[in-house]
Amino acid sequence: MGPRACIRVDSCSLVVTNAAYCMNNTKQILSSLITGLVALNALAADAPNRPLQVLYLGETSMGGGARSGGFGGGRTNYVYLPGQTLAPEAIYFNHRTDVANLTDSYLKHFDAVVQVMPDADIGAAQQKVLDGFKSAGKGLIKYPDGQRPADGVLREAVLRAISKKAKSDWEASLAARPSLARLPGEVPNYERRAEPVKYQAPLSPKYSMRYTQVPADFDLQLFAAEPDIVKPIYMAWDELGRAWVVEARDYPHGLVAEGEPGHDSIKICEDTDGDGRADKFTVFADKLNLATSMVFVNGGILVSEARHMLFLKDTDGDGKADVRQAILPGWGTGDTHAQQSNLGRGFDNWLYGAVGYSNFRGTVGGKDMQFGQGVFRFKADGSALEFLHQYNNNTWGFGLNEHGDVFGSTANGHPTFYGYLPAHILTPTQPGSGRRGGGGGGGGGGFRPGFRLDDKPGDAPVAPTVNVRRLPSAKSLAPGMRMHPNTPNVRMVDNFGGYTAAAGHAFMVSDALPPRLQGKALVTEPTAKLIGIMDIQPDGGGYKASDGGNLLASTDEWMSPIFADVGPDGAVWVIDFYSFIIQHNPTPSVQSAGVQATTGRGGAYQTENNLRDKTHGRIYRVVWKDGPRSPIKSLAKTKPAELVAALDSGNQFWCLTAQGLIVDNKLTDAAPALKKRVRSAIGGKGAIHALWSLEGIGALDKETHQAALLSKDPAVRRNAVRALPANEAGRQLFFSSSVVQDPDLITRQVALAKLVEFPTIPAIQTVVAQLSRVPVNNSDSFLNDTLTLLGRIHKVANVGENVVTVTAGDAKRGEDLFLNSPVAACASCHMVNGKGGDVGPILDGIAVRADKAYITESLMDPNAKLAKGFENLGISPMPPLGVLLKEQETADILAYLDTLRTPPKDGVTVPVKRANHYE
Amino acid sequence: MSYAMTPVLSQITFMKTFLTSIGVAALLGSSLISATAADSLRTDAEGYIRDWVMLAPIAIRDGETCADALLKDQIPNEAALRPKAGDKVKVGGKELTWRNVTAATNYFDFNETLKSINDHVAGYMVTYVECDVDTPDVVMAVASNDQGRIYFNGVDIYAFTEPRPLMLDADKGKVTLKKGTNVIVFKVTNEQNSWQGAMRLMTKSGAPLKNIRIKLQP
Repeated sequence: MGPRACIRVDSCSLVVTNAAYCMNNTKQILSSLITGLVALNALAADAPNRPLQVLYLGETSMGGGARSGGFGGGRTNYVYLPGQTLAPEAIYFNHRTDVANLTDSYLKHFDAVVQVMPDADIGAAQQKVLDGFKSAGKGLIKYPDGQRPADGVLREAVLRAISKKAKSDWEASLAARPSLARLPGEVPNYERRAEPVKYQAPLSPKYSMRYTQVPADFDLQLFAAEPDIVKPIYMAWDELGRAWVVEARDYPHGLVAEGEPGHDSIKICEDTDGDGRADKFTVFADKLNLATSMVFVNGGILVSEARHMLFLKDTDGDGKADVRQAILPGWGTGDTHAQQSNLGRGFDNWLYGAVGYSNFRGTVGGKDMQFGQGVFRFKADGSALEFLHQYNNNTWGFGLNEHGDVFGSTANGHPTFYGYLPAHILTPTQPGSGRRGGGGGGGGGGFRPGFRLDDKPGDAPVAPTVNVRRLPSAKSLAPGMRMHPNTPNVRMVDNFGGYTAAAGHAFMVSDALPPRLQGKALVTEPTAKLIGIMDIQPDGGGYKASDGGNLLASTDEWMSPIFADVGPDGAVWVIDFYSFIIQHNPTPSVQSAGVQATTGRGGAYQTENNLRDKTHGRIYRVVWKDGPRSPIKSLAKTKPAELVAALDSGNQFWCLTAQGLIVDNKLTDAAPALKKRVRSAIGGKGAIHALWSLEGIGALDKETHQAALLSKDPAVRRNAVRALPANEAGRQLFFSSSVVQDPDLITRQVALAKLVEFPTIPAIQTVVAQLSRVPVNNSDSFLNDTLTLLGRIHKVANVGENVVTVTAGDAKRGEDLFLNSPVAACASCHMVNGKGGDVGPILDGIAVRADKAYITESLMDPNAKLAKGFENLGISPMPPLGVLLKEQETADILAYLDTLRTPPKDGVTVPVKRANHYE
Repeated sequence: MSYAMTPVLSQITFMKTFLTSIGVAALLGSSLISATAADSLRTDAEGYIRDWVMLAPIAIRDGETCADALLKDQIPNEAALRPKAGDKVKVGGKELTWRNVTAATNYFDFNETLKSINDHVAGYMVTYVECDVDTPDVVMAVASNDQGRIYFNGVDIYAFTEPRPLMLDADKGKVTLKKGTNVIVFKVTNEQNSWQGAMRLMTKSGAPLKNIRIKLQP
């Protein structure tokens, strides 16, 4: 069907009949709306971009519009907002459940407010603000019973309520926007849509922006685009505020032999005339291979690229790198979307990064190391490397909140995790893999207890390991979080509706962003064409996260946000990889996705009519309309006193940049001011960065450190604990404060984790035993895990929860977990009795066609053996349940699976293509 | 090397040494030497065990790490293996045969023996140590390239799960040799390149253990 053949839109008013807006016809109507714009386009001049902005007040899950399926069926079932239905025609919904801080200055950005909650929940004062909004000619639509109508009805209500001018401006804007044209090309259809999504023609940045939503009080501004930059994958800013962009032309198939030149580059992008657009582009370094990220250090930059980190420096001032030095060899390239990436500076003066399942395997400081799927830190000279926090899958995100706490994101299903135990210390204590460390020969294990030379009589000959609890080094804060895309055409391969390509984890700590966003984290999602917001809040000894909506979402199916972070101006800078094909793996087949492809070098699939883009890429800024810009413009050639002052900047970028300049340039002249700042009573992030600056220049004296440990600001105390050396002097300082009983539980958890690093002495063993008597240390999961590790490290029995008791699996509980667990989400992929997803094998009769060992292995290690009919996947999309579930929960699910003894009637265990819910 | 042996034994030992010195031991190890010496072998002068029954190569599944494969049975109940040359085992749909091997040096080399380079694989070496009396506090020194695991008389006593080069005596532990036959199962996995292992038995003071014999069948 051609794009113009199904127009059912009144081309004058864009009003669609209510009757047409039943949900069963939504897809058809949407198609009409999008393609109908082609006709309208001819009627309009180049009218300014004018979307309709609607503020939605209420719970998104409420109301008659909630649906059980999505466009194309159950595989596209997202959190229900009108994004997929109404955003394509530039009716943008902004969502708030918190109505406490509605102001006139905020509401002025909206054309209408949809109130899906009782007036009583709004409150008299806020109601007055809303009444004023209505009096000003804007639309106020109320559904006080909390029941929202279907999207078509909602659309009509909005169009009736807004001013005539708003409506006519919106219509003109739509008419000036080109349609999303479709071109030939093989597009995988994992969603099993009746009509597969067709390859969309790319848009210019100007028109892509017209299909892209940012919050109503923000502007989306283009900073750079092709051909000036191509395939940008990462960026960082120097002390001049200049953007340095990593261009990734080699991704995904372009791995070259070691020593051979690649095609990636580092480009400096400057806005010399202050108009907000880059107008000067300088190639700092080229011939890089599969470069993924970069960080400023020691007057140059370190780049993560194939096999190693590469230090680049310009020593003669010509703007081009003339020093190229490879350090830390050993980064895997088996899969080019699982390499090391996301480099950044930590508060602790180490460099940080994330790595996926391509892993690191190498020798650092004479020690053999191997790890993957988590966050690591290293010294800039390559002398030290530590694996810090492991989650699972492909880890593409690393971020630090304003307190220096470490977070990350993993691509599939876990867009935010909090790292709280050090994996390099924890791993040797784990069951099974516990024997991978702590022994002779370099930390890979050794003789078991009872067989060691230094064993004493009576030592247990063999320690049982099966019931030892597996401790996490990181906790997923929002497992299974759903997304809010603005297109019905999201193409995914698994975890349908949830994050499947989560990347980055930057915190918004900026004096140029509104208070409602401060401290929240940005996670990009290129498959869904959006940037999600993680609302991360303290929770006992750690954190929890909830859905914070979007910062950006696009209907342009090429838009691929893969990077978002606060820049020097305080705005959020976004890299749009701009590629219609964003999926790397698995390799689609006719059976799985209706398209036959092959696996290319680096693990990415390729088709004959290769649709992977090699020419586009954009950088945008998302700018708050009502706020100031960060006052600092540059810290180049700044005096030490000014650098110390910059540590208190409202923009975390400048805090870290100032700290980096002090440390890298060893500005010991700054020490007195830094000490003064640490010892000041006000605490705050300036004190934290001053503390670490002192540590970085070797000037952190005992008195200053002690003052920080006794600070009134728990975040200062927390960082003071982290900065303690793991020696006797550190231990003495540690016990000179009361951080083991810190009233701030996150700080207490950090203190307990520090105790893990000190050598075992009887006094510490006594402390560990005493800590276990404090109830909250046991009841809080973060503290309990830490206490458990302390018991293992310092050999104190009966603290924490070291041994897990697993009773016989309960099939009923297991069925409940199978159907409802947001973490395991079994039923979203597996069918039983005709219900459930069709991603994985049908499980009817699994208990009779596979033995328990096979089923257990499949749960714990889904990649061990790919199920019959799914071999072409190469890698299982299923998460390893051993990481996600408690031991008892796994036993319960196993018990439930053991009840599935009746094979499917037709004997087929590979799901066939399912009918579209909307057909 | 001790020459206080019976004439027959010293003749065999001499033959092994000679063949080793000309580099053909690996070629002949499984047939000539082992067939003649299976019941009357000794450790070498430094206490290294050079005579083993080998099963290799076993391919490790794609996607599974060598460390994981090390900690997982590659053939059922690997701790209880009691093979002899000629025994056949089906692993991953492929039939493999146990064969006797005499190491040319103080370490064994799977790739050298197999005359091929094998990456991402597992292999087993099994040997039987005969002892006349219960002998406690025997120092077992081991090395593996890459990961290694050892079962001693059916007990899982050692695992090293990281890749590494061969470093003789990298790890030392202590075992008690019981009177009669003691079974050592030495599993080695290889990520890339060299695939080797070594083991010797010593007294507490580090002297090679005497009064033990090596057998190549239970």
